[in-house]
Amino acid sequence: MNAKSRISGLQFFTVTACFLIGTFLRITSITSVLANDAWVSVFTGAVAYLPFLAVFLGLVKRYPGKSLFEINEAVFGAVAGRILSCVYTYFFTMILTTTLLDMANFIVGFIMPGTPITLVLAAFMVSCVYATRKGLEPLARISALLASGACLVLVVNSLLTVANADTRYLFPMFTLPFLRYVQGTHTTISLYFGESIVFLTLLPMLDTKTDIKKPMIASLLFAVVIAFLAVTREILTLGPLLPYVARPSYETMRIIDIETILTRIESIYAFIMISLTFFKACTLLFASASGIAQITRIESPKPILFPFGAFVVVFALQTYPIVGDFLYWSSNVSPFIFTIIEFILPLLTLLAAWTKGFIGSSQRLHVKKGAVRK
Amino acid sequence: MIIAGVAAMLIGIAALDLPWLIREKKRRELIVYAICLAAVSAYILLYALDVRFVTSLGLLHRFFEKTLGLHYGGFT
Repeated sequence: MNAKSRISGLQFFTVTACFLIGTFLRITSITSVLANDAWVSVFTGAVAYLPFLAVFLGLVKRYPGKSLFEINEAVFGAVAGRILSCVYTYFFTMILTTTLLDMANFIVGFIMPGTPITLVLAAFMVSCVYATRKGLEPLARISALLASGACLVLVVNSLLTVANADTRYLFPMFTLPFLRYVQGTHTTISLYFGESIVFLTLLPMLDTKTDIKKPMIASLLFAVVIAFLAVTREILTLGPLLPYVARPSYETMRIIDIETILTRIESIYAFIMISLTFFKACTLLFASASGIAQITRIESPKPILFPFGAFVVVFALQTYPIVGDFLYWSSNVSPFIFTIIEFILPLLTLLAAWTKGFIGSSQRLHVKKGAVRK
Repeated sequence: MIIAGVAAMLIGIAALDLPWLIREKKRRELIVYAICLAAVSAYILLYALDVRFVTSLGLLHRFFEKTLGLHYGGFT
């Protein structure tokens, strides 16, 4: 991890875009809830996420160049700040674990059946640690290639599925109970958009001139377009099967068969998904290790990356050995836990920072008035 | 057997930084390093012995679902 490497605004955009596309490729949590109305939650989720994005940007504006962990300590002091940083670090480790588990289940279930999941997890983690040790700047450079590749594959595949698409699958619209739409929106903001809180840990790596507001908003719009395209394609192709398949995007690709020449397109999707998951895992690994480094006051997270990566692998093996339990957790319970950490804690931090600033400025004003009277 | 192989691989790779940390006397790093490796070894041992236990994630799941009642009630 090279401390001197810096990420430009454009690279930050591609990093955030890659992360969000990687997250949105796992859309099972929405499609299993909203079926043919899943596309609605992409928009409602994005709109509902805007106030929370404003909270993130408010924190960044108040503490420029500081990471989330440094902001915690600046606002709450060393002890309380570290406790809060522990919560965030655990949260990032939790997302990293579930992301790895999801990817390993995909590989073992669809691509290489019979392969021991332990081996898949370990091999994947070793490559993640190796890449993260090289620094985030090389990863940021790769992200541009990955993001454009993912978009190209998505667009081409969507065009190839047109022959199998049926617009009737979009109907009937809005027939589900209202609570389902609430669940879909809640899941979208907490499981998909909300994970972008991890970018607050990358801020010290950015160029000092970089304004993160534009890249964050641009990547949000980009992710909305990509997610809408992907979800709509799945609805139009899979129709009533959509809530019952574990990997809608993969199953959609499997249907493509152009004159028996263009078949097995799903392998391209698998490649893109694994690449984006790799990128996401690297970002989360960096965030978690940075959190540990900040809490324990070690100079660099680089030396602890391998043992920490090994810990994540064994932690993943003990967590949700049954895939069904994992899917239940994703759709039904995790949105509540994620909401507290992704939105309520940053909001409290921003309020505390404002209060601290307000008290500080009123005290300074009081001292000034006293000096003028004398 | 696979677990033992993977464990040996992970710990072996993790030990790459060890000589440098000892030479440079990075005490804090060594403590964090030792804690991580101890946790990994304990987890691997339990996994190899087929001892299944509820992880912190599982505990959170139960706490939110059973104690607080915060869940959407059923996989649809």
